[in-house]
Amino acid sequence: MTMANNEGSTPLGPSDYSLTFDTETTTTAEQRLRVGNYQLRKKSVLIEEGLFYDPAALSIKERRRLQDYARRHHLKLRTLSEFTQEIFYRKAYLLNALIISFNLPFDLSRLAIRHGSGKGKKMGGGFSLTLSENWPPVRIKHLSRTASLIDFASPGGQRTGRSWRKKNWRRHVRRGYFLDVCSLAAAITSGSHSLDSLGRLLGTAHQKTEAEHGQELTAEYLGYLRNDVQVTYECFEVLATRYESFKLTATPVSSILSEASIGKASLKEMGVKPWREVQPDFPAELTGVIMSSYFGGRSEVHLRRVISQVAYCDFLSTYPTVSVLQGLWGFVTAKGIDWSDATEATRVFVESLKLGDLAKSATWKKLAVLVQVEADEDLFPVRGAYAESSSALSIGLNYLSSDEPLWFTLADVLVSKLLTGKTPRIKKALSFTPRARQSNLKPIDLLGNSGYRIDPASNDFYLRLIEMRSFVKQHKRRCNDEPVRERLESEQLAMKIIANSSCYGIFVELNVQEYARKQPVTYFSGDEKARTANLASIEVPGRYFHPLVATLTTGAARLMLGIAQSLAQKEGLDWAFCDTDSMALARPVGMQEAKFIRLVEKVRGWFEQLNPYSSGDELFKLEDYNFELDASHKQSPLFCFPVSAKRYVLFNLGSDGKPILRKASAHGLGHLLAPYGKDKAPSFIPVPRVALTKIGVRRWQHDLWFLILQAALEGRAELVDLGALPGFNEVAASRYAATRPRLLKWFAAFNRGKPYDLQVHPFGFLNAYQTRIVAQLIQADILSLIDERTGGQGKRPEAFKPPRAVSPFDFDPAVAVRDCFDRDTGEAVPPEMLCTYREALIRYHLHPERKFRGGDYTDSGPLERRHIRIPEVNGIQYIGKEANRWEERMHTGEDPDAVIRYGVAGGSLDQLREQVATACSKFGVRRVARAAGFSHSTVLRFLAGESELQAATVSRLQVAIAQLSSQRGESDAVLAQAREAKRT
Amino acid sequence: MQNESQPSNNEARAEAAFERLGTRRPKCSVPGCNESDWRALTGKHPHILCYEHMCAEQGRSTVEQQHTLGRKIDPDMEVTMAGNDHRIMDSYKDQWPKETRENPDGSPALLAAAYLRVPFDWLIMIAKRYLEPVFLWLEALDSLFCEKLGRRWWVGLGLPDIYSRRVEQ
Repeated sequence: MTMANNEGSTPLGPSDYSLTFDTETTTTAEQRLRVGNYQLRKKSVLIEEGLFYDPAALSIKERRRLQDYARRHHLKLRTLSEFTQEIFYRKAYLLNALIISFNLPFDLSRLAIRHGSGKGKKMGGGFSLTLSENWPPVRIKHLSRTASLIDFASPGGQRTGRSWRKKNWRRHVRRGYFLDVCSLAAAITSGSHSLDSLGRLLGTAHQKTEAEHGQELTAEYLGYLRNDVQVTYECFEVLATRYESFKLTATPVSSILSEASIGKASLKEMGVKPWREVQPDFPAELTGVIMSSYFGGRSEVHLRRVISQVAYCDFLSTYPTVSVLQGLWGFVTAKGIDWSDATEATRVFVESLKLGDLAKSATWKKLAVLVQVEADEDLFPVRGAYAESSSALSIGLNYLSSDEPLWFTLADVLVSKLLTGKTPRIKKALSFTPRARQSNLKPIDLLGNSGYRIDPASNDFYLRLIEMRSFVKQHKRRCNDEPVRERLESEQLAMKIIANSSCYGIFVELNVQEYARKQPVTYFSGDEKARTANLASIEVPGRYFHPLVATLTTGAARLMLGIAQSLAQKEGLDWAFCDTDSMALARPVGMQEAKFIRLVEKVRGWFEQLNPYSSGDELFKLEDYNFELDASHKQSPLFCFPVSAKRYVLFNLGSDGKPILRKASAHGLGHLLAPYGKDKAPSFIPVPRVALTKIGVRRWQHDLWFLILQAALEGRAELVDLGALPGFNEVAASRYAATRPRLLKWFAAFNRGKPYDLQVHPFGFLNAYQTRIVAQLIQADILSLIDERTGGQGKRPEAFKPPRAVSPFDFDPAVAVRDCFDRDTGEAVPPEMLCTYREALIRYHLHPERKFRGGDYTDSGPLERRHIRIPEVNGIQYIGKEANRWEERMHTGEDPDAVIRYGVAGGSLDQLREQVATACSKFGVRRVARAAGFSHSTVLRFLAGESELQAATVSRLQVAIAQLSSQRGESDAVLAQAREAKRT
Repeated sequence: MQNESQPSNNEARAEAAFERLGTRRPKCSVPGCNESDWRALTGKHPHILCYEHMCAEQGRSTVEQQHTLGRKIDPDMEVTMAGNDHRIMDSYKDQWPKETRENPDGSPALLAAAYLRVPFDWLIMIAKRYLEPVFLWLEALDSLFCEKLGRRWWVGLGLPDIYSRRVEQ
């Protein structure tokens, strides 16, 4: 959904009309429209319902059946073209109706007669869909799995009359109002849903039914289609009503794209102006410093691949809590921020700090400080490409030494001091204070309830919200009246969403704008120098961008974990893993259980000194997983088996010695299509005793973890036999949608020569696969042969790159895989080259943790922090916020452009030339140039000193050299394996 | 795009007007002026003026001559009316079928149709603009009297009967 217009006038919001529609398609690659159903409503009263169809996609018999059905059920029947003209444009567009669907980008793309790439700042990187020649196209830009920007393009031409132009008025461009129920559901329920699960969750009058797709059109199938539209509308009504209860009247429901939208709507309702509006002259250099200190949540494994008994503890509403402790609401509502040098004071503060000082809330109010350190074996978050064979970046808390001074939050400096005992060398410190409070802040009655009144000028919004939520939850626990309990549950969930969405993410929102041509960009980072780069992808701050609040929030959250770790170590406890706001405290071997429980309580109790809430909820609480499944609330031994960051499982041991999963991660599994459903689950794995929604995984993922645990419990942790799981000997596939022009381009060869109706369209589904290691061995054989014949002097072909296999969609995965091809070359890839689920997941439980030492495939036990030295010459690269396109990378393999690389710091170009020259002599100039993505002559000119490359270009060269080196290393390893195999 | 500037029905035209005016509840911003018909409003929220107030501001007459049947059919037949009403009547006329509005061949049937459409539009306009507000006002007055004086507030006030509903036996 989009706001209708950002061209100088306030959008009206949708009219009383709404158009809800759904499409059903063929089950083959192009997923062509067969038939659709729509409901046109005015103020929720149905005024017209109809069916539409593509005549070319139906047989004569099917068309007759359709006509017959429409007549019997008094439905309008239109062709696709008639539907787009008469209903979509003449009604919905002209009447500013709210256009509703579930998975709206897909349905809209089924109506298109052609498409192009979206243009401009807002829609660059998206699609422009032409639905009809005489009407404005629909533009769609994919933002995330559940959110897209959608609007009508401008009709073009001079549309503002002269008299208006004289007054500097501009005619409103009709952008339309689109609502994807999938997006709204994700925002309001804080979860991802199918139409089926959403209908069940919301308890709509109609529920989604099952149907067999790809068969001949029948009356039953048409009934199923109509029911889908009805369920979609009912879901919309329930969600819209729920949103209405939030009483965020300044933001219409049609503008809610995500939870973050709700956060922004909350601030807007209170009259809070964005920081960049109240302080537009804040120095860019300082913004660069602040952003260079920003890191996300800390997520680590410590006791890798060992079963340990743990107490799994979680901080109450971590981000809102640390915001409260630091008084960050004052920054959010201020007229701006001031800053001053605090170097000496900070040195004294850090030097004299004891753990007990952090138990005082007054200490936390002093943490709004950024510190420039000359790191020398100090413990800091370090962002780097830890994996040898990949340029993917991750963050690890490691011992850092750097010639270049680096900025961190004071909280991070304190973590280093707590965990090492050593005070880092502080070069400079800047203390930040909020200016006076903004005027025109308005009190609100949260959820329309005067009992939930919040005055942003005098209350800390987050404190009030979390306390209210606690009271509501307590009230619900005491209440026996079911409708009241439901209402209270809905209220506490709404409060949770508002708190989470308004305290962090929106303050570090950066949206990538993509341009057809590179644009000159000036950027800043920690050294406050202005640098330039030419980039096609440019990050643009979101409306409420306030990086100081964001970096102080995450820094303080990392401090909470650091304190927990320090306390645990002091008490002789260990810890198995941590994940942003939780830590699994581990019972050391030999410690009595009673002592373990007592010490855990001691650690948890320490945090109560800091608890800012009056609701009585604990700050560092034991999660429900630590207790028996019955209602006894008795603590029961909980175990964990962590593999790598965000990849772990928590379980109890049943009386039969078998694991009972309590919580598991789907990390590294979520992108795969399920090889089987609950109904085909193997009988040799016990039915989960805990609901899968509570465990957090699907049935097949549960079963995978069960086998991993079973192997570990039987002392064969490396050997997990997945062969017996149903479907695991089939080819493993990931499904995603062609959400960007770049992804759709992979199908250029497939689409070539086909009429538009038979091409893969934007947002059409595609499958991605992994290639088998044996394919690499075959290639290695070829390399070996070349080496044998040339005595190792021969020109090696390109280092082996396994094909990146994709296929067009088909409902039947076995059929889809037959059309598999390499997206880089277009060459067919035989299914034999593709990994099965078994092969793809054979090392799932061995996934290395490269951020630390001791984390290789079969390593287990405590990991050790690395010692990282950043050299002066090009040791630092400037990158954008790395969260861009993480979904795409997850599904389709690494995307080097997912991280925007701006340039490098420090060093001389001569030294760089030397580095590049060495690489060129090793790999050849053409290969280096090709790997870096530019011309051979560019590299030659640089080597000859005839050109000065942009820093960002040099950065690409360095990454290319690193990749070539690692591929050479990989090829050598594979080659050695192949030779070894030949010998034996 | 031709389709956007020529919406095919009244609601679409209203919607286009609301966008032009910048609000779905437009009203003349001059205190005391209750003009809220989108057809008679100009400008952009919050600086909306009804046509008559805009004319007054520009020093022009607020009373105009309307071509009753339209210039193309009879350029001489005119009637004096208030500016706002003129805008509304012209808007109604825009919704006549093009053939009736222009009648290039002088069809007597279409001319007769136009003659009938004129009083028809007048009746609608008078009803909407002059009668409806009155009965709405009367109903609001009754509610107020009921609240202040009770449900049978008229009893004992000595008011003459307006209508007698009872048939005399």
